[in-house]
Order: sequence, then C-alpha cells, then structure tokens
Amino acid sequence: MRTEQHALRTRDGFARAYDLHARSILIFLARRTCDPETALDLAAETFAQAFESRRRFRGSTDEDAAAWFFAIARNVLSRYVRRGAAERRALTRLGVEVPSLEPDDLARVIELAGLEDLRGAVAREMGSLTEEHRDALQLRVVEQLPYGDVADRLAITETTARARVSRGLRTIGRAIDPTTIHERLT
Amino acid sequence: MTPHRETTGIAALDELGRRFDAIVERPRLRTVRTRRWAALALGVLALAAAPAIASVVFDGPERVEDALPEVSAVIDRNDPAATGRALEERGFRVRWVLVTDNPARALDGESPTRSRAVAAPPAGTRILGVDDDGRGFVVDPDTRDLLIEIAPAGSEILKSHR
Repeated sequence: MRTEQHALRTRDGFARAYDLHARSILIFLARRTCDPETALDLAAETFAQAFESRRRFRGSTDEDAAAWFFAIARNVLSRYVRRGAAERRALTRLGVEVPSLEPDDLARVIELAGLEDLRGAVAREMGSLTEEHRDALQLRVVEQLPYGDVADRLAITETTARARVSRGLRTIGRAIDPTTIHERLT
Repeated sequence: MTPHRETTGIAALDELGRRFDAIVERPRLRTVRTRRWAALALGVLALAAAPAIASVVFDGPERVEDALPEVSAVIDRNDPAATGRALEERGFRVRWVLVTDNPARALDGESPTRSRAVAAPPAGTRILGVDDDGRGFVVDPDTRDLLIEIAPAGSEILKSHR
C-alpha cells in the first residue's frame, strides 16, 4: 500500500488541483455534449462531487488526480446522457451556483474543444448512417423518446430499437474519438 | 482565503473556482450539514444539538486499508485473481474495473486513462487500488462490496501507483 498522498486531500491542494484540471475537464465534457453551457454545468457538478469525496482520493500524483477527476466526470456525463438533464445534487448540497458563460467564454470553449470540427464530423457520420439507424437515433437521442416508443414508431421490437440506437451511437462515437478527430485535423 | 488565480483562460471557470474556494474555507460547516442527512437516515435526531458528537460519529475512515484490515491483509497487487478469490472467501463481493492508458492522453481535455467494468481480472493485470464500492464520502467499515481497479502491467497509470 502507498504511504504518500496527494495534496488534493488538503484545502489548498484542492484549489490547486482545480486550477490544474478544470479546463481539461470542461473541454472533455464540451466535446461530448457539444454544448458549452451544459459542459460547464457538468464540470461544476464534477468538482462538487470531487470536493465532497476528496478524502477518499487515494492517488499520489497530479496525473492520478486528473484520472480521478475524469472518472467522476465520466459518471456525471453518463447520468446526464441517461436522464437528459444535468444533475446538480452535489452543487446544491454545497450551495454553489454555476456562473454563466459570457460570449467571449463561449467562443473560447468552442475553440478549445474544437466543436466546429466536431459538429462537422458528427453531421458527416450521421449522413453516412443507414436510414433505419438514423431514424432510431433521431427518435431516441434527439427526441428523447423511451425505447418502447421508438420501437412503436418504427414498427420494430424494442430489442431491435436498442440495437439500432447502439450501433448508431457507436458509429458517431468513432467519429468523435479525439484521436480520430486529431488525425483528421493534422 | 486561498487567492484564486485567473488561470484557466475562461472567466466563468475562474469564477467557479473562486466559489469553490469559498466553500473550502468553511468545510466543517458544510460537512456537518451534509452529514445531517446521514444522521437523519440513521435516526440520530439529536445531531443539531450535538455537532461535536456528530463529527465523531461520522468522521469515518478514509481508506479501505484503514477501515478493513482483513481486506488489506489479503491484497496481492501482483495477483488480482488470487486477491479476488481470497476476498470472496471472506464474504466480500468484488466488482472489477479495468483501467487502461488513454491513447489520446496527450491531447488537451483528455483523461490520462480509460476505464470499463470487466467480469474478472484479465491475465497480465495488476491491482491499482481497492475501494469501498459505496457512494459515501468515507469508507463504510461494514461494507461487503468492494471495487478493485486493475491495470495492465507496464501501463503508465500503474507506474505512478508503485
């Protein structure tokens, strides 16, 4: 077992870790939501949950801290995708209000996250999907219908609806993989 | 108060940092408030009148090693499968998460690692860490559910955990 512990568990250490990793977390979330405002909400909830759980952090390096923040961010993002709304439970408990993104901020996040290129890549991949996969994605992801309703609208079984959405998302996911995007941009 | 710097290049993010700083400056108050919910759940209705007692009650152990010495005793970081068997023999339920280096780690906005649940530890992996699988702020000393993070031998994340 390790004996050395990261300063993240201390008061000043948390502020330093925030300064070090907040921008990366925001970019990570912006790339996956394509929406800077939502990304800021999710980043704020990520740090609120991290703050509440900081005593459980077991790492010893800045990279460990980054991995820990990203793991929390992935969970926060996952719940956002499932529910279709950003969770604010930890923020509410801590009484932290999320500031608004001003136009300059918005432009900066779009630039840093490469959202213009990303949106283009997603649009291209959407265009390359078969009609049945595109329709399933439209109903489930854009219109946020339950799988049962997607199945009814497309006259297919729920299992097939889930499979089509899953395959469509996998295709889009490959398009927004940062390594793929990076390769396309360079 | 910790002076908050304008470091992220995004004004809203810097402002959010300042708001977290304000929270960091009064952690005890917030911690006691948070714990009040746990106290209510446990029926400790006298919490409001006895915050000092509440602090003792809810200042739980921080790490599995502190809370569960029987777990710590059987962890063999080089042999996740044997560790899992030993823990299950002692009545623990184990969930495995495989942590791998992210090939895009060098890009801004990317995590150093990726992780996914696996049914059993693949060959060639080592234990990165063991934690209570609950969602509390401290380790539950009565937990029987553990989360074990494993990583391929030689991965970057494992190097920092040696």
